Amino acid sequence: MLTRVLPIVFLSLTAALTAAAIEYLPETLHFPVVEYSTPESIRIALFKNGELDRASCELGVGKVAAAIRKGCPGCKVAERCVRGLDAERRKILSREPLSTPSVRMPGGRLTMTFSTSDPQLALGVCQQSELQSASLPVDQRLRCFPALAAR
Amino acid sequence: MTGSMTNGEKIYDALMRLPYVAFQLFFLVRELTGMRTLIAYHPYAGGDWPFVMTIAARVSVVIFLTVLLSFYVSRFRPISKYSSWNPKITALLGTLFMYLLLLTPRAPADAFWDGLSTLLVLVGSITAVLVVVDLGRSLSIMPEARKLVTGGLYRRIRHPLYLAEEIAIIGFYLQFRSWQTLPILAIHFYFQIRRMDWEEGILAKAFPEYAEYKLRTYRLFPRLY
Repeated sequence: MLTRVLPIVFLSLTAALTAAAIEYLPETLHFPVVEYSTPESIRIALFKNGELDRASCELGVGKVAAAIRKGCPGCKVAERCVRGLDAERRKILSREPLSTPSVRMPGGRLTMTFSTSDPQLALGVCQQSELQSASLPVDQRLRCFPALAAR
Repeated sequence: MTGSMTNGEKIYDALMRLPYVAFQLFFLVRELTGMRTLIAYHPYAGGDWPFVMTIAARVSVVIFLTVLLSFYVSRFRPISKYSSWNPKITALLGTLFMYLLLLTPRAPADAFWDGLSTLLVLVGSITAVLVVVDLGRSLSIMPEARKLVTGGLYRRIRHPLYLAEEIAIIGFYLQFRSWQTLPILAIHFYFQIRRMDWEEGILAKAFPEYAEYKLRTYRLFPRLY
């Protein structure tokens, strides 16, 4: 009896705990988000992988925002750390297609979305970001995905 | 056995369990933190199956460590044990050496190896629970005699709990999969074999019927060893 029940109990427990870890552990993490708009009215949102504590998140997001401000003095930059992932941020970090062009780092450690009233301009900025990252190590290169494309 | 313990002995026994419990809790917390870090880097894990298998493999390690911890906390006090340090140190090294593995970096996510690892760790955990059902609370880390169990999984092999642990530990190893960690595994196996020698010695001393039991059983694998 026990030999039949135990494998079912252990397998169910493993499956349940795995699902719970994937679903709920992101809620305990802090995710850096930087949103900025260029003088050409292109809105860019940058999402990074989670950090274990708020201090690391704020440090990281501050560095990214400072680099953007330095490279684009005319940009309006807003940075924040958000706890957990809502449905929208989950989708942005996932491989699901988005309604705007986006660049993604391998492994999904960084995703940027581009929105503007001119879709071709947004796609152009996206492709430009991919080109600019070509000199980086392979695992840090960005790849541009057009709107509604599988990522 | 436990009924005859005085309050002082009960407190002493509980205190003696604390270092191992703390040690085990440290690794449990470390595994959970590791899982959190992993998810921090892959927050989109939902549809990524290699990654889901990696998390499942981590979860199986947490389950195994929890199973071991619960066994140890609920064990009986021994009726006979070695007074020299050599068997105790061998037993401690046999038990603790495998934890070094958990301190080394894991291999990248791989659905096949992580899936196989999960399977082995779960088979090891399930077998360990079945053994402990036979063993009752006679489990120990040090070579100590509590009661002679010769039924159930002990009917054909003398150390089914070691076998269960080693199956799980090979499962652990598959999450690391490096040549550098192989010596850890080899040294762990060596100390476990030494530990079995000591354990058989103390059981033979405490229970005269052990000699006959030893003759009709294998150590770990029926017909092989």
